[in-house]
Amino acid sequence: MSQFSLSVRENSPAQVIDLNGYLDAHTAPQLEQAFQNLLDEKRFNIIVNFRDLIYISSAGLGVFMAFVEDVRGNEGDIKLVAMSPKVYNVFDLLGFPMLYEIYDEEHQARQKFLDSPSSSLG
Amino acid sequence: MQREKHQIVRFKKEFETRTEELHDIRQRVEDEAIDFGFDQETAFRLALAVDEACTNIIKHSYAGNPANTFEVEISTAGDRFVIALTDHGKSFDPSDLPVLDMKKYFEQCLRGGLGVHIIKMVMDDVAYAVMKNHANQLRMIKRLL
Repeated sequence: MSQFSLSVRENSPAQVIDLNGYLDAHTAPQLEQAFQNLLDEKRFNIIVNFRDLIYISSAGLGVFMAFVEDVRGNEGDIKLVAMSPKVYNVFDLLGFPMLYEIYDEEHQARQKFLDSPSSSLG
Repeated sequence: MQREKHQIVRFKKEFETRTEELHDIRQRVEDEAIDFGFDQETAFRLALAVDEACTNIIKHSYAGNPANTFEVEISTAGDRFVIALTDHGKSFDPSDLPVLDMKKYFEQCLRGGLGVHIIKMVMDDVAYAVMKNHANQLRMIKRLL
C-alpha cells in the first residue's frame, strides 16, 4: 500500500506541490526531495496543496521549517492551502499559522503571488 | 514499571524499529482510543503523540538502525488511557524537556523538539523510567473527561 504520494505542477507564477495520504517520518524525505528539486531549479514561489493529505506529523512540519528561510531569502514564499480541519489542527497545535500564510483555496495563494512584486521569479 | 490496579491491557505488540511501522501503530492507537470513548479529534491527537514518541525511539534511541524492536502497550485503568513504549536503545527522556515557546522557536529559527512538544500538549501525563532490566519505558496518559 502506498501511504503517501506527491506531484508537482505549475500554476503560474507558482509551483504547486500536491500532497496525498500520510506525511510522517517515513514519507517526509519525499517532500524534502521535492522542495530541494524546486530550489535547485530556482523556483521560489511555492504553493503546497493539502487537499488530499490525511495526516501530518512533526516530521512533515519540519520539512517546511527546513526550507522556508531559503525560499524567503530568495524573495519567494511557501504558502499552504486546502488543509482539512485535522491537518490544520496539527499546524495550529504548534503555532505554525503565525509563520505561514494558510488559505482555503489555491487561487487565493496564487493571487497573493501575483500581487507581490517578485512574482516574476516563478 | 508497576501495573496499576484494575489495569486492562488492550493491546501489546513488538514493532520493528522502522518508520514503516508508524502507520499501523497510529491506526491501532486511534481505534483503541475511539473504542475506549474518546472523540475522533482526541483519538487523532493521541495517535499523533504516539507517532512522535515512536519516531523518537526509531530515530534517536536506535539511530535509525532497523534491526531492533520496541514494544507498544495500550492499557486502560479507570478513566485513564495509557500508552507505554518500551525499548532497549539509547536512553532519551522527553519528560524532562520543557514545552516550547513557539514564538521564540520561530524567531530564533530553532530546529527539532517539535515531537516532544506535541506529546506534552496532547497528553495529561508523561513519565519516563529506566527499568531494572535497563529497558527504557515512556508512559503517556490521557484521561477520559
